[in-house]
Amino acid sequence: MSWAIEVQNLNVWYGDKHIIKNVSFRVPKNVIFAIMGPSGCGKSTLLRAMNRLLDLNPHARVEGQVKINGINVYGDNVDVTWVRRQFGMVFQIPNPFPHLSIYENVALGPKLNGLVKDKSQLDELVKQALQKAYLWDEVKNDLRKPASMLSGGQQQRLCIARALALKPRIILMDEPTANLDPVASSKIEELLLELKEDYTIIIVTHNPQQAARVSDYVAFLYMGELIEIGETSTVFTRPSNILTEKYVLGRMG
Amino acid sequence: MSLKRPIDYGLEKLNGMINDMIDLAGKALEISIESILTRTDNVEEVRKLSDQLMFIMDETGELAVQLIARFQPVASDLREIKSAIQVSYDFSRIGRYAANIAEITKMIPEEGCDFTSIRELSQIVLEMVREAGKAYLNKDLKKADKLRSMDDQVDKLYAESIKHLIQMGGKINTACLLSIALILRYLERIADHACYIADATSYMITGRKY
Repeated sequence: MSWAIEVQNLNVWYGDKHIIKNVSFRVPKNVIFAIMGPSGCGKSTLLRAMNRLLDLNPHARVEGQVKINGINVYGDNVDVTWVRRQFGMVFQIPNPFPHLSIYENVALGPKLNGLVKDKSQLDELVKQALQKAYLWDEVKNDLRKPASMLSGGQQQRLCIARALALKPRIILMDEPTANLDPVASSKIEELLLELKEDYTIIIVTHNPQQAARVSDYVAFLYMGELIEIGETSTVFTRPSNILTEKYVLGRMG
Repeated sequence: MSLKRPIDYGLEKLNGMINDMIDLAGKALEISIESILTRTDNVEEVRKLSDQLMFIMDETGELAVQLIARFQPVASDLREIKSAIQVSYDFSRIGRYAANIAEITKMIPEEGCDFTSIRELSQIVLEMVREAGKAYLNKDLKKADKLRSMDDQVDKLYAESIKHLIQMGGKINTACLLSIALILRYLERIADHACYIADATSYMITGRKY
């Protein structure tokens, strides 16, 4: 079996605070893998360790391995730009470039990275990305308007389109629906199920019901430790660890 | 002491309903056996208990569906609800079989019937029904295991008794023979349902199929 991502003995410290404690797991390709856990358990840190976003934090120290296609992203000769390009990332608060047009939000990445030869290729790429993010029909007549005119849910799908335009292998999502209303949230969830045909999706959520609805596999993180990992249908019907049981039942804390 | 979750109020109500069913089913079986052994016609009383059991079974199903719709239960909550639906059906079946047993009373001839096998089997089966209820309410895995071995005992006793009846064919009153055979059969079915309750209990506790 070839894995989309393999995390081995990962440890993260912020200063002398041990945030991620010796976490290991593997994610198969083309699945939705959810990381759930209470606030402050280290979910977002774990996600940011995967694409080396933690490099930007001078207080963060990482030990262990994160492998994509067998290559350790923390290896000696690995180019961090290459690492980031393997991942698309979507955050809790939709963060399109508000003054740029809808079109430019998606086109900027491919342009800066030299992914396209000419204007017509770029147009096609933007259209494909917006279609994949199920936003095209809603914005195709407003491509030149600023992204800030879109609703929150549309902005989040624009951020997904922006990530897709760079053709990543893995999409990391950090609470992507935390700031959306239920209808916009369901749209994102439906979109995730479509996207896993082509990508591997790792989603962090503090909403166990969301993990139950959309994920194929789920990991439960608690105080920086990986407590349980398994098929979602098993974890939500007969969790093997009492802490997981308490968490999914809403009995924790 | 932690606060109750919203779903806990519903689960407690569900348990209360099952508790009522345990009482009613035990009572129905007890009266029906007594009806046979003393040849007193108590069929109306047992039917009433059986109807009550059917009514509570419907209520249980209704509440279970509401809890699923409102709370999207998972893990042990979900297993408890699934098991409650299952055992409420089993208790209502036990009530029906008890009524079937009571209905036989009027078929029994004045004299000449030997109810030894019924006396023996009914004692075990009545204990099984009560123990099944306790196992479920107390989430007692050991008791559930014990019920499965009691069921083996019932099956053995049932097979022996039927064999004996066949040998007695022609030597005893046909009405007598038929009555005893039917009652033995109903008791054996009741034991099966007590065993299904044990299985649902074990599943509720462990999440494994039994």
